[in-house]
Amino acid sequence: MLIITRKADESIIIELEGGKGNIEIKVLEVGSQIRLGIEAPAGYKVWRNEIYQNVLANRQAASAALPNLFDAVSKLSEKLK
Amino acid sequence: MKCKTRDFGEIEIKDSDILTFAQPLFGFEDYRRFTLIYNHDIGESLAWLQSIDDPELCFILFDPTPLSSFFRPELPQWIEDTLGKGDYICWVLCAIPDDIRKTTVNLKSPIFINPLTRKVAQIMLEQNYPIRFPLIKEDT
Repeated sequence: MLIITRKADESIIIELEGGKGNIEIKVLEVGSQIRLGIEAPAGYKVWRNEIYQNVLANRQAASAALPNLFDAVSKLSEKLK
Repeated sequence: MKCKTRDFGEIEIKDSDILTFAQPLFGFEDYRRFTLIYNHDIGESLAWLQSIDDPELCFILFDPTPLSSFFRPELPQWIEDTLGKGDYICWVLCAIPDDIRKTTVNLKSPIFINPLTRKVAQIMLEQNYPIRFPLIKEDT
């Protein structure tokens, strides 16, 4: 992991190779918590990590695209009895 | 009204069967209207949460009552503002892989339904429950 020290009002730039737009993360306030400002080009979604872990889990849950999910759920319900 | 489903073809539902996410499923902010489908052979411990607006979008829900020895979700106080007053029904989302023995449920962020208002919310609990809890014990 790259570790960088920053003060309030300083920022870092994450450059996407090929000039496809940069992401800027700025430290707005420092204290017991820090406030960050994030600027990213269109096409990027910014998540709090703990929320993002649930997004991934939900996507996984939605893509249980088994050829026959009904059979799978039947078998699952048998196993749970 | 008619509702196209992923696993049951076209079914008939009433307005009172429509559930609306007041706080959407994380990552599915554009999908608010769903209906619950039970299957007689499977019983009521598992249910389908079918999107009304996209037939291909469907989740399998598990009634976590059998896990109540350790799974006791504590709801945030603001939930009444979101769902209205009532007795909420808790479900957890299943992730069912090809090998169904590896099915997991998300205990960190259950969904809560208020049957009175038919509003739903996915709530990330403060409690430290796993996002991927194995539903089936290894040796079965």
